[in-house]
Amino acid sequence: MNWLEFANPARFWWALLAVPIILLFVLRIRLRRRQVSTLLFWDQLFEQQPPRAWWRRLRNLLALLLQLAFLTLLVFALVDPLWSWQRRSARSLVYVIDNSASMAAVDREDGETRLDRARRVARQWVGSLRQRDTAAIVTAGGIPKVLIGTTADVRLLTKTIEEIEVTDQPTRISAAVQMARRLVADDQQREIVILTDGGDDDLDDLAGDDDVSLYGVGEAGSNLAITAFQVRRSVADSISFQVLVEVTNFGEQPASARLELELENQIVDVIPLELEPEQAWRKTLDHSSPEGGGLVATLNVSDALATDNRAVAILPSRDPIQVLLVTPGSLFLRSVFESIPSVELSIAAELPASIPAGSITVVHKTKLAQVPPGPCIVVDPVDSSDLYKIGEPLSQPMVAEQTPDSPLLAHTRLQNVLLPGARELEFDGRVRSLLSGPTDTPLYARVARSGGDVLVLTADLADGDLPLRIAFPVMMKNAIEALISDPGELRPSIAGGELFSIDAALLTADLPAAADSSDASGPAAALRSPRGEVTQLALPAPVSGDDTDTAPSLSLGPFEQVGLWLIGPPQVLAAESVTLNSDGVIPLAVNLANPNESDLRPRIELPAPPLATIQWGGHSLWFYLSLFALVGITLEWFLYQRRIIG
Amino acid sequence: MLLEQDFLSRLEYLSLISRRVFRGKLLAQRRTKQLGGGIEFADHREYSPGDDLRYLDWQVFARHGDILLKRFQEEEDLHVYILLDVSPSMAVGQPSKFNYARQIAAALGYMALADMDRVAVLAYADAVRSWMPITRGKDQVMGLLKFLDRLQTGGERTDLASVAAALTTRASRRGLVLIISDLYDQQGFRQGVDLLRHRQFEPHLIQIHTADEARPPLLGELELQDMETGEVRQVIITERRQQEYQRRFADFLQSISDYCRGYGLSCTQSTTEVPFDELVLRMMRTAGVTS
Repeated sequence: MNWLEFANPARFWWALLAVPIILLFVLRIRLRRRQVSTLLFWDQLFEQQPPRAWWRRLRNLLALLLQLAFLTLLVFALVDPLWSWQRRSARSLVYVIDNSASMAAVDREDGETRLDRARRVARQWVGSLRQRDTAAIVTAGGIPKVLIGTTADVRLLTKTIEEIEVTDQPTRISAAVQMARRLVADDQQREIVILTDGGDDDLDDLAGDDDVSLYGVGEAGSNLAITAFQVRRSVADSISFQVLVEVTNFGEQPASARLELELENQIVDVIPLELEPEQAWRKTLDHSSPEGGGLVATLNVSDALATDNRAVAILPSRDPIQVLLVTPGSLFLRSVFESIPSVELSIAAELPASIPAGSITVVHKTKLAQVPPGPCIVVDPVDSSDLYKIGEPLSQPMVAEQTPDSPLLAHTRLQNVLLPGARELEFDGRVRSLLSGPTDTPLYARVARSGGDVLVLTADLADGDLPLRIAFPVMMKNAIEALISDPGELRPSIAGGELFSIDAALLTADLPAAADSSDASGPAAALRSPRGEVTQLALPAPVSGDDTDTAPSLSLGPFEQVGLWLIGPPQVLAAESVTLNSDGVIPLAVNLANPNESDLRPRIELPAPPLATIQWGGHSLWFYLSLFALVGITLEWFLYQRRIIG
Repeated sequence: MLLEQDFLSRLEYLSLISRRVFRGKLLAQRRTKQLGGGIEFADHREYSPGDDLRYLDWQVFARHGDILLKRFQEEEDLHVYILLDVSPSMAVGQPSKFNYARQIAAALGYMALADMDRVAVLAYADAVRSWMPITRGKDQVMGLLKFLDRLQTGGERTDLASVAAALTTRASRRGLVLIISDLYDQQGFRQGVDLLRHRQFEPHLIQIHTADEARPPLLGELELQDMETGEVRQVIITERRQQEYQRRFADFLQSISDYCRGYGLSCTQSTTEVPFDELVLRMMRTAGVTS
């Protein structure tokens, strides 16, 4: 029979149950005979109703037929006949489940999140799959993922649905649908069922596709969110920092909240907020601290989505700047450098044989054959060196021109200032003149070199009034700030779902233990999530250049959770006591910072999901008939018990 | 069974504590009055011409001037007829109602013979199946017991009316009629009892039944067969039907009591669970013969 097939023909053996049923029936219709003293009283009882009316006698036969019919249904349910049209109508379903950040919203009083609801609905759908149907599950939070490919294993599908977790990433329904279409190429059998709360601008387009069914699981809710949070060190002041924070009210009603800023668990600022509907409050806050660490902004408000009520940022710590002043004696220079808060000053009369790494050398009125390595400031050079040549004293040592946009001269005005003792300077390498005399002779210049830039100022501080001007300490402070190799001004917070590139050299430089290992694959690094899960990173191999090896950049993300992520040596990150300041650890701040996810109001109307994609026919017809028969028999048993037992 | 020593001892015990039972206040609550030439004074009546002047109460005449005639109660033997139901319905129960009925019949017969009364036994179903002629004297006790011991259940149905008619025909004198039966008479027991009443007998009903008859442990779809008629009924017995049956059976027992009370008859009802001697003692206590 081509038009009918049996999924499990071996189960026809169950039909043999008819034999005991018939035997039991034969035994049953032979009623138990009981002798009684008299029928007087029984006849009185049944005088109104003949105990064995004709239809009652037929009832036994009818009961046998019903039992055999039930057995037939049961056997058919077991062997599961499939008609040809049923085989042709097998569907390939792809359930696209949105697990973006907004799906963590609790917008109902029962405490159920949107993702909980989506999971519950998806479980029901999977449970109603018909025979021969297959299904796959794709998530649409951040980068779409195929959690399970097409399968008919309902238990596996249900287990996979249970394991879906919310991510702190934006919705990417369109990409998930494209992935689903690649997963099931046959567009005749393909059905893509999407469960989302919106948040994707392409939903309107998808709604018109034949193979796509869209269902919404969210309800409109108001939400306050930190939509931007960044911190940077001040370019003007090494210990100051600026915080950019933006809080938006995604609701139809005014809202109030309190914004708290904490730096390493120390309160930095508390700001009460009153926000009108749709208002975005944006402000830059100035604070100062030489300490660095994790800066946390918390919005004290109870709303539907908690993920965007907290944001983190990394404030680079400002280490003391080591300054070595080599001078025969200058009260001006000493006083100026001592007044700079971040400078740790040491004074020497002669240039030492070796210069400590990372320090800035200030050479005043000292003969140099070669400018010391590293960043250096040469004040009033007395002789030529390898970078410059000293000429005759200038006849008119007056500042005629000042480079306007250089940070080295920020907040200073030195035009027409006399610099007695200034001499002609002639440079060999790349030089930028900052102050120049009337004949374009450089008076203050910056020489670029690979080991560290050099600033040269030709002026006798003891003769002129330059040290007495306010501009002089400002100029020296600018010089120190400019020569710091790691200004540490900005480590931007990363938005959830974005990729982040980091120079692999930063990682390898901080991995001494791993670099010393004999492993030919190179140093190892790991990534630690805010929940403490550690993932190994595969560092790219260095690219061989002409003269030296250069480390490529490493792309990380998108990050599935908001909070502080750590990159560093695996053994360090694996420890429970790891902190932002642990050796070799580079922190990364990840925030939601996504208005689309924070705005819980539906942008388009999505239909509510039905309980099952197929109400009838989810199972074979025999299943329902057997179920119906079972209910009938149970009812009959109940009525029998009620009739006999009372 | 009836001839066992233990049973006989219990009969003797009952006999000792039940002197003059049937002439006392037991059962009918009435003495059998035969006025005549006895020696026990009964009452007075007005003198009418022709009366024997020897019976005039001269003392009353001397004191009050009334001419009254003294009446004396003539003692005569009491005739006790025991009608024992041996229909098939009596065979049920453990012990069977039949055995129980025989024990009661033996006890009552024993006491009657010990009182020098005259006793006859009729075993009946649809008719008189066996008959022990009327006899007198305690020496006839063994004959009575042997007669009862030989009895067996049988017959097709119970018909007390025809048996009562036969009794009234056969009995030479009126007397006390003890009917020991379950009274499951298809024709109705009242017709037979009424006939006895009308013929000046003094019927006493001893209705016995088993606990299972009062509360049958039957449930479900069954085929019930009448032990007497052999008729079969296919029925579905539910708990509700069970309760209805119990109610009807209780009504049946109550109707017997009401009937006896209505006509001044004595009536005793019991299940076979009550020992027979306890039942007899209960009857005697009711009559005030013993405490």
